[in-house]
Amino acid sequence: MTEQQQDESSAPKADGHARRWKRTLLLTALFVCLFFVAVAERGGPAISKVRKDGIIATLLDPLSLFAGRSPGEREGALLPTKLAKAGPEERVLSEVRDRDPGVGAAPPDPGLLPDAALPGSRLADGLPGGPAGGFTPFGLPFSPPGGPGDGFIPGGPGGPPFVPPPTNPPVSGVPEPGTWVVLILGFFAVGWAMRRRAHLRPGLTAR
Amino acid sequence: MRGLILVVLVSLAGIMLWPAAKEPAAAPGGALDAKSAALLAHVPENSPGTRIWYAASDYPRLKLPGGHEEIVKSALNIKGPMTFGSFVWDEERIPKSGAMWVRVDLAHQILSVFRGGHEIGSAVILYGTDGKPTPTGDFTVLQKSADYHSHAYDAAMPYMLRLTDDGVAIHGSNVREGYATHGCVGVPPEFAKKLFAVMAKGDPVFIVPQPQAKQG
Repeated sequence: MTEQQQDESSAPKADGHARRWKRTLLLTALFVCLFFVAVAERGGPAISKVRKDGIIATLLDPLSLFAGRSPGEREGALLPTKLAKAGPEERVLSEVRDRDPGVGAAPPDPGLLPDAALPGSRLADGLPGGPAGGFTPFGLPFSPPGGPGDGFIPGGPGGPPFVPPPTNPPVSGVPEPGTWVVLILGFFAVGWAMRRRAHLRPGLTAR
Repeated sequence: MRGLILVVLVSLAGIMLWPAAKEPAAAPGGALDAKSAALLAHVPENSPGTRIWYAASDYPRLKLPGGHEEIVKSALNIKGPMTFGSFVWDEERIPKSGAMWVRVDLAHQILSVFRGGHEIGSAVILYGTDGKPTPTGDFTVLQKSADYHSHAYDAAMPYMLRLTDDGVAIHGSNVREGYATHGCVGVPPEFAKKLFAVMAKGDPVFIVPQPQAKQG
């Protein structure tokens, strides 16, 4: 029994001893790590050289000098310094405007001329199309009635847009007399209906 | 015994960490090796109108578009960011002759003029929008016109240095924040005048693109 007791008492003793050593080793490892961290922070021999060289390079690199004097990168909405008087297309357009209408225009072909009375139709005369010069008639002299009436028909590939020639359809009065008549008749109809309702239900209106 | 080891370790750690906390790192003026010290000796601090002179043995090389590379012998010592419309021009103590070249940095909105490797001028620029971007790459001055008037924009472009056939140029412009050109490089008019005086036809102009992430 006593031997057993001795064994039982010596076993925890050995366990505790091993545990203490383990703890000491762990603490030593921790402090070794701390030592290296401290050396790095203080600018020790190995790490500080890299860091200081980096600072020198940053200080003296021309690119970093340029970056340092930069007002920053551009961001946000931007305004143009000058309003474009005319882009490349409009430059061509202005030449068309300045040109004498009688010069350079293709001879009018009655078979190709659109009906000027058609709403939205635009006359397309033969204008110089494309950089190659010459006269290239536009493929579609008619735009469909009710189509986009923006006043410009885009030219063919390479062809310039052009100003509509002064052959606009006659402009009628706005609103037209028929519109006025319908409007006034409608007011009469509404007034009549209201009066009729009031006449039919006098009690409601009296109250 | 164990306690003694612990005490020794703790005191060692304390000794090491205490001065580190008191005088933290990043002290470039500390002990430098000979090369770094020699480099730093060429940086005059807080002396107005001075420039950064690079050591002749160690000129930095600027990589430029088109595979070009130029050495930089000295650069203007501009402290802090420049404002829109401002510029610096300093050719004192710089040889009157030397190869001229211009570097336009779109990302940083900065233009630098070099003569014989020495930077003699720098200005904040305006450049093109996304719709009409300023082309990047290596160009040469194709045409000089001190009193140019743009037909396309019906606008004065004083001291114009044409770079491309389609009209991209460096010229005087009202350099303000929030504005962009139609592809040209706009510089303050006074700067444009000086630049016009020193640049000749055929002199290279390098337009450095924006970083890849900023493009598009």
